[in-house]
This record gives sequence, structure tokens and C-alpha cells, in this order.
Amino acid sequence: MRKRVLFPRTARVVLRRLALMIPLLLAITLLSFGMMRLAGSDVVLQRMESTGTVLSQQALDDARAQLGLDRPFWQQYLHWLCGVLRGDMGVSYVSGQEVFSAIVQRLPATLLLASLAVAMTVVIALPLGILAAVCRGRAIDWLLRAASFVGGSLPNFFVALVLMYLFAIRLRLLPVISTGVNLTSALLPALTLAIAMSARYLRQVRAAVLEELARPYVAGALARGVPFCRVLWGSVLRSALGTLLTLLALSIGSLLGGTAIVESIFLWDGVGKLAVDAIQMRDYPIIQAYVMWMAILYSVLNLVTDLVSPLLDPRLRAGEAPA
Amino acid sequence: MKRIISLFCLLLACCLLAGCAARAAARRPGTFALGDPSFSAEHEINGIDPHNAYSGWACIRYGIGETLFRYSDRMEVQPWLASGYERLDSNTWRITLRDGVRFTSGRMLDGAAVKECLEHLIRVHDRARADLKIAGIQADGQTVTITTAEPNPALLNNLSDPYGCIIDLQATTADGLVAGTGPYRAVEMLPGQRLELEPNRDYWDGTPQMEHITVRTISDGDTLTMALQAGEIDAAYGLPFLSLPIFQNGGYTISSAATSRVLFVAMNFSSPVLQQQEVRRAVAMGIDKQSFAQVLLGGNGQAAAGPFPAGFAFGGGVAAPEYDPQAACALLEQAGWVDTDGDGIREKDGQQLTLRWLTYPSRQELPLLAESAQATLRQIGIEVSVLSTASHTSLRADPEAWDMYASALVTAPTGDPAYFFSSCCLDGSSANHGGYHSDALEALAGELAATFDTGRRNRLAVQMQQQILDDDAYIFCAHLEMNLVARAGVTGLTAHPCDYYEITAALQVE
Amino acid sequence: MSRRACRVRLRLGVLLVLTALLLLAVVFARQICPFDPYAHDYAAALLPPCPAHPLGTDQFGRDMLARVLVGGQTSIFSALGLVGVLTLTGTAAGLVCGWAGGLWDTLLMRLADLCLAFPGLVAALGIAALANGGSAGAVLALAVIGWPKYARLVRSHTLTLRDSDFVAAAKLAGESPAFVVVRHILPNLAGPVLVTAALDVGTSMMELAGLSFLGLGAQSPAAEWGSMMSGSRSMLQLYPWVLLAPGLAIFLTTALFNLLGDAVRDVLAPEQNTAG
Repeated sequence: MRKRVLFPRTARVVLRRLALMIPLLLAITLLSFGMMRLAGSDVVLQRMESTGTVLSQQALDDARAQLGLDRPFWQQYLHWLCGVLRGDMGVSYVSGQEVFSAIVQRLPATLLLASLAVAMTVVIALPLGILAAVCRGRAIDWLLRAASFVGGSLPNFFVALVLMYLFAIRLRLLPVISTGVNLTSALLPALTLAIAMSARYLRQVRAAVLEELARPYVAGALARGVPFCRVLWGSVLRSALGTLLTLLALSIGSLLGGTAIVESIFLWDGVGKLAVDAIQMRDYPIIQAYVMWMAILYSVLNLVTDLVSPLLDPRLRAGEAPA
Repeated sequence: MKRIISLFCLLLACCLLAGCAARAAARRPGTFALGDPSFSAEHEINGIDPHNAYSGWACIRYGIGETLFRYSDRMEVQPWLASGYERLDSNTWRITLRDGVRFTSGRMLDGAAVKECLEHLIRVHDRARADLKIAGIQADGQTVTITTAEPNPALLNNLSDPYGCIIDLQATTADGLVAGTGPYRAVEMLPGQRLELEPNRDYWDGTPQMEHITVRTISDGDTLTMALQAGEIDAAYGLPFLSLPIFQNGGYTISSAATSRVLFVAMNFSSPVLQQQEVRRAVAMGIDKQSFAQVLLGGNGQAAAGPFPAGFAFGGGVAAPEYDPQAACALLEQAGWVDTDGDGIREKDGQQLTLRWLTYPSRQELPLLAESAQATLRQIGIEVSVLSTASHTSLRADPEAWDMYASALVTAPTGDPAYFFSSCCLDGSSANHGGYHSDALEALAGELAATFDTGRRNRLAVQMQQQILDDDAYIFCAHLEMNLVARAGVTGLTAHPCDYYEITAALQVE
Repeated sequence: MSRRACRVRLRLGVLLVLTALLLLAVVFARQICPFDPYAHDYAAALLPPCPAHPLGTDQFGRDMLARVLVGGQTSIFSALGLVGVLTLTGTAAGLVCGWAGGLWDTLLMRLADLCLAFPGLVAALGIAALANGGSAGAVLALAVIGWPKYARLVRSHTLTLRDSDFVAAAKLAGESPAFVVVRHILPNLAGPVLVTAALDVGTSMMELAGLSFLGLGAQSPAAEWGSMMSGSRSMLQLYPWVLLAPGLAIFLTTALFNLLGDAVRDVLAPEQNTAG
């Protein structure tokens, strides 16, 4: 009975959200098209600069004409849009590679790194956050919170270099440069990302558990003689997990969008490095594809979070889905 | 609680164990790994095909291809695949090819192969077509006769550019592996990531010593440093200069050479203040090039006088204003710039002596130069406001937006002096951003374009450099050195001033 | 007042005093430190920490302590400025959405979606180029990307508050909508917004640093903590103090503002008791 009511509603929500994605994608690609042109310079000038040579104005104009960069802005956008609608996202101005395959080729690396980083974050932040909450006010709580401030205030290139120095040069346990898309090479970059995320989530898990522990039902259960561990594992942990998952959904979006600095330090050939290189070289077709990928990712993750969170927290089920 | 902690410890241990188990195995003997930031599309190197953009740099650097002529340590042109040449008239050159040279495809190097390769080059490569000005090529046995459309004194220099690598056009594979004549041949390639090389057993000039060479693209300088420290690569090209002291011990050898990549400042001649030569001269005397090169670049650059390093055949013999704050102050006072309100900055007619310094951060030395100049110019009463931005290319086109523009440029990529003047200093130059004009320089440039004798060309180039310096149109601050750092036991890896030759048959690991 | 409430207030007081001291030290940096943060002295380049230079010197021979203190002006105040802009615009937008609802809500939330889904780096490049470099451009760019977070937070709280009993009572008593918003809604929003803002000060500092590394933020030689770190990252092995000095400053500031955020929350919402 309940299922029959729930399903069409969910389907409607999904359809409505998917329909909303179309104007969002149009607006966002137009915006990024405009932004990159406002940013000055273009791929022809950037290439000239990175090779340290000088080309004649004629050569520059020819190169621009070849890429269609001499045409008016709206013509360029329409040309690009028509291509996308035909399923052709163009080729990179810099490498000549097809844009679609350039992105798809890098997805496995990005997915592996993102999932490993999320797994590590859960493994670090959840137990430590609970530990800090349970031992509130004691030395271990202060220690963990201090550690989380340290972890949260270090730039990730710094963490990356320190980890690399420690594990690859001092201890000689892990390689400096990745040997391909595999677990060993992913460990250090994932740990780098996990340290910063754990630092943030540790505090949030701690707060969520404390909030839960202060609820009347906990005191009630304890008074009834239910062991503390049972209360902790049964009810408190479940709600803490819910908090963490909602937060993680947001982070997964940025992780899948790539983490350029970490990727380039560890030679991890992911989407983020592709995007930053493209932005620096003003490689418009790649940038456009990246912007689209991020927008789709954002919309889908948002939708999934909205659909899943009522399942985790019964109190939300009655309320309306956030916009 | 204990369960949580033990679970956590277990997981952490698992991660570490996974790491230990998969520790990169020590590499086999006879193999060699080079870390290089430049093998990437950002440097317009999309592979090793010399006919594609700047990919020829990879072709020649990693010992795959060779050119008809090559550059000496003083950037003079010497025969390489050619054994000699003869200039029949101002538009016709006859080049004799070396005998017994084989492409890695098995084909012999002869006139027909060279004609085929060069004709394809000028058809597909815009820069080569413009530089070489070739009208026709005839092949006859081991000679090729090249006719140019107009007199081109720099023809041999330009043929030695990496795009001039002679390849067997018929042997290029679908994935872009070309067959050259060098000591190594490419067997596998992932542009922007790695290149795998194997020895060319039939090499004409010695026996390549390595069984296998891997070139890894490592664009991050700190990663490159640590990969070399950890022994994952045997040598590194282009390490950040701040890391070099780590390798200044018995465990490594550092080879460096001053290249023609110069950090220089262009004066904007439409800026009212800089139209006074006293101010330009004072600025030139107020920059401490020596300290900049020695302290800030850590000796990884050499203080420059003119656009070319002193080691080049046409480099020495020019005089630039020396760092001399007292003389600079005297000049400024002479020109009427005096500090009247005691704030340390000079004024004239109520106007502060403030100069806008435009530069960009993507080359790490440029912001250092800006800060260094800012500090020393402040001491002689000139205020410098620095704008270091990635959008400098659009700003520099607007003469109202800046007074001085600091950038980096390779001034003699083909060992020919004419390139720098024609691209930066003449009326028709596309990179003459400051609008510099000199009648004397225009006349000398015309003379240079019609002169074939190398000795006379070099003397003319020195004269032209002196003209620019006497006009204080540009300040040349430092020539950057390129470095190759290798672990002890690696021999035959030497830095070359032209920045092209890295892997040769001499490379050996003990 | 309970002993516990006293302690919470005392802690807030101590933290406020510490924050004030930090801000004063940063504002009067040039008076406190005997060294000029911009003067080059190549003879004293890259000295490790010693009595004369407690945090060492950088490659220009500049005193790191002086640079860290002066750098705080840029770092702390642009981070505070950014958070201020975010809070104001975010709260305003969230209030409109939550209180007025309807078309305004839909429009603003779609705009928020657009900003959230837009990759930050692309936006930063475009906006910063419009503002022609400098810190203001970087702050503006991050504000454009960051405001939806606050708008959503405020919107969801406003929705809850709008339907609460005391707002219904105030409406019944005939109070004007503006009065209800100012008197009843805003004070209840202050808690969550202030806490989020305090936690964001540190994050903002890091984000601004990331932009200045791309040449979009603070310009040389202006000292700024994040760019001081990223600009000297190759020195980690040989001259670690050049990185550690600004790193320490970022850590202390982030920790201070985070603790301040916790303390504010404890005072405003005593029933939660989330801090130790």
C-alpha cells in the first residue's frame, strides 16, 4: 500500500529534476563560455608563451581562424552547442584528442581516488569522532580536536609533500610517482585528501553524536538499564552515520570533479588535472565538457541525497524535499 | 569502544601492508628512467612526430631523430646527418648526406628520403615553412639541392631546429611512432605520460648502451625532486632550482648550461616617464642582476648583458649599464627627479616617480625578479607597482596599462641572432610591445638579412645588441640555466646550451 | 545562572580577548616587529630560526616573523571580508526565499543551483580577470560561488521558524511582517549563521590562498599566508621554516576562529552543550 503511493511520487520528483537539468546545463555552459573569454588570452597565445617563442601576427591570426576563434562569440557558442546535440563534443585545442574520450579515459582514475578517499575518511573520522564525543572534555577529546584543527588548516600540497617525503623517501614504503591506476599508487593521494576531509568531519561527527547523546531517549534508555554500548551502537551511531553521509555526498561531488593539486603532485591522471591544465591553456572544448560534467554530477548527487536522506532519517519523510 | 579502536587499527594496518607488498620493485640493470616536465601537450609536445607543432623537441631530445646539421656548444652550425654543404648562389644550397646511415625502419638515408621528409614538413608545418622559405628540393643520390624563394642566410640554422629531424615518412605508425636515425627508437608512447625507448642496433655513430629507456612526464617540480631522491628515476631534466642543493653531494652529478632563455624587461616607449632616457638608464642601473642570479636563482642563472649568453658565438662583447645606485640617483637628479616631500620617492612637477611592472607568475623566476627590482629601485627613489597576472597577454597589448613588461623568451632557438631582433625590436615585430623604434637598428637589420658570412653576421648582431642597450630599450636581467641531474654512475648525460640534446649514444649507467 | 553557563561565558570571553589580541598584533605589525617586512638583505638570506629572527628569514633575507604579522593583514581581513559578504548576501537571499516563498524562492534557488554547480576555478578566472587582479577580485569570485550555502541554511531555518508557534502568535498579535522578521526570525538565525561563519574563516583563508597561487589574489611583495606557503613549497626539504611560519599562523588563526564558533554556539544554544 505504502509502496504504491511512494513510487509514483519518487518517479515524478526524478523526472522533474531531470527536466530542470536542461536549462541549468544551457545556462551554465553559456556562462562558462563567456567567462573564459572574459579571462583574457586564448589557447594560441598560451601555447606561444609556454614554448617561449614569438609568432608573427599573421601566424596567430591563422591559428585562430583554424580553431574558429575569430568568429563572433554567439556563433562560436551555437557551433559548439550544435556539435554537442549531435553527440560531438569537439577535440582538444591542445592535444588534438577527442574531448569525450579524454574525459572518459580519466574517469576510472578519478573514481578510484574519490572512493578510496571517502572510505579512508569514514574509517578515520567516524570512530575518532565518536571517541571524542564519548570522552568529551577529557585529554583525548582535546587532543583529537587539536589534531583536527591541524589537519584542517594545512594546505593539501603541504600534506602531500610531507606524506611523500615520509612514506616514499624516509620509509621507502610507497612510490613517489604513480605506476598506473592501482591501489598502491592511490594510497598516498587518497590519504592526502582524507586527512583534510577527516579533520572537518571528525568535528561534525562529534557534534552529531553529542547532540544525539543529549536527547531524552538516551537518558531514558540508560535509566532503564540498557548498556551504554547498546545505546551507542544502536541509535546514536545510526544518526551520526546519517549526518556523515549527507556531508560526504557534498564532498563526493568535489572529489569527482577532480582535485587538481593532489592529482598533479602524485602524477595521478584524473579529471581535475585535465581541467586545470585546460583552464590554464584556455582549451575551451575541454573546459566546456568539464563544466557540463560538474553540473550533471551536482544535479545527480543532489537528487540522490534528497531521495536517500528520508530513508535514513524517518523525521524527514513527512517534510517536503528541499529545493 | 575497544571494538572501534581495534577495527580502526586493523584497517590502518591493512593499508600499510598493501603498500609494503606492492612496493615498486627495483628496476632491472640496463634500464634508465628520465623524469622530464616538458614531454606534455602544455609545451605543445603531443608526441614525437617532428612535423607536429613542437613535438620535434621530444624526437631530438630523447635520441630518436637527428637533423642534417646540429649546434655546437657555442651554437655554431656543424654537419650531422649531412657531411657537408655548398652554397651555389644566394638562393641555392647543395647538401651532401652522410653515407651508411639507416633509419630504424631499415631504409637507407638518401636524398630521396630527405626530399620526401622536408617536402612534407613545409606542407604541414607553418613555422617551418615560414622559417625555411624553401621553393623547391631536388634529390640526386646522396645530395639534396634546396632552392629558397628569397635569400635565407639562416637556412642551415633553421634546418637544425628540432622540426628538421629527418624521419622515414613511410614508416610512421598509426599511433604516431616515427622512425628516425638516432641511437634509440620509440616502442610505446602515451603523450603527456610516458615514452618507452629501445636501442637502435644499427646506429651509425657508436653503440647505444641502454637496453631500455623510459621517459616519464613529471610536471610538478617537487614530485620530480622526490622521484629522483627515491631512486624511481635515474635522472631529471629541469628540476626547480630551489631543489638543486639537495643533490649537491657525491650521490649525484649536476650538468648545467646557460641557454638563450632570457628574463628581460621591455620599456614602454609610449609611457611619458619612460620617454626620458635618463629614467630608462637609471632603471637599468638600479636592478641588481648579479644578486638576483647568484642569490635568488641560487646560481641557476647568469647575470645577462645582452639577449644572448656570453658563451654564444654572437653573445659576448656587449656592454650593459652596471648596477650602480649612486650613478642612477645622480642621473635622476640631473633629469629633475628629486624627493621633495621626504617619502623616499622622487617627484618632478608634482608627479611621483612610479612605474607599473607587468609580469606573469607561470614562470617561477619572474615574480622573484619583480620583487628584487622593486626593492632595489625603491632605494634609488623609484616606486615600482607590480602586476603579476595570467592575463598579461591581453594587458601588454594596451600601451596605457603598463610601463615595464618583464617576460622570458628563448632568444636564439636556432643559433641565429636575427630571430630575436625580427620578433622583438623592429617596427614590424609582433612582440615589440613597447613600441621601440631605432633608425640605426632598422638599417642594421636590413644588412643582416642580406649577409651570408657567419663571422660578419655575428659582428652585426653584436652591433645591434649594443644599439638596443645604448637606447635602453630593454634590460636583459639573467640567462636561465637548464640542468640535468643524474644519480652517480650515470655518464654521458650533458646539458647543452640549445636545450635540445639529452639522450645520446654516450649515455651509460655503471 | 548555572556553573556550566558561567564557564561557557568565561570561555567565550577568553577567546574574544585572544582574537582581539591577534587582530591588534596584525594591525600594528609594523610597530611591533623591529624588521621591515619588505627590506631585502641578501647577506641574511634563508637563515634558520635564531634569536634575532625567531621564525628565520626567506630567500630575500626578509624576517619571517615580520612577514607573517604583516601577511595577517591581508589574510585575516580578506577572509573576514569574504565571510562577511557571504553571510550578508546569503542571509538576505535565504530570508527572501524562506519568508516570501513563491516565485522569488524558485528564482533564487535556481540561481543558487547555477552557482553551486559552476566549477569554482572557471568562475574565479573569469571574475578575477574582470576585476583586474588583486585581492578584491578573488574575494568577489569566492563570494559568487559561496553565497548559496548560506542562503540554503537560512532558508531551511526560516521555513521551520515561519511555521513555529511564536511566529504564528506574533502574526496574530497584528505585528507587521518586517517586524516579525527582524524581531523573531533574525535573532534565531544568528546562532547557526554565526557558527558556520566562524568555521568558514579558516576555509576562506585557504581558498583565497589557492587563488593567489594562480596569480588571482594578493600581489607580490604583499605578504599573504597562503601564497607565502605555496610560493615556497620547493623549500620544504631544505628550508622548512619558510613554509612552517605561515603554516603555523594559519593553524592558530583557524583554530581560534573555530573555537570561537563553538563557544558562540554554546552561549546561544545552551541546551546542545556540544563543546567540552
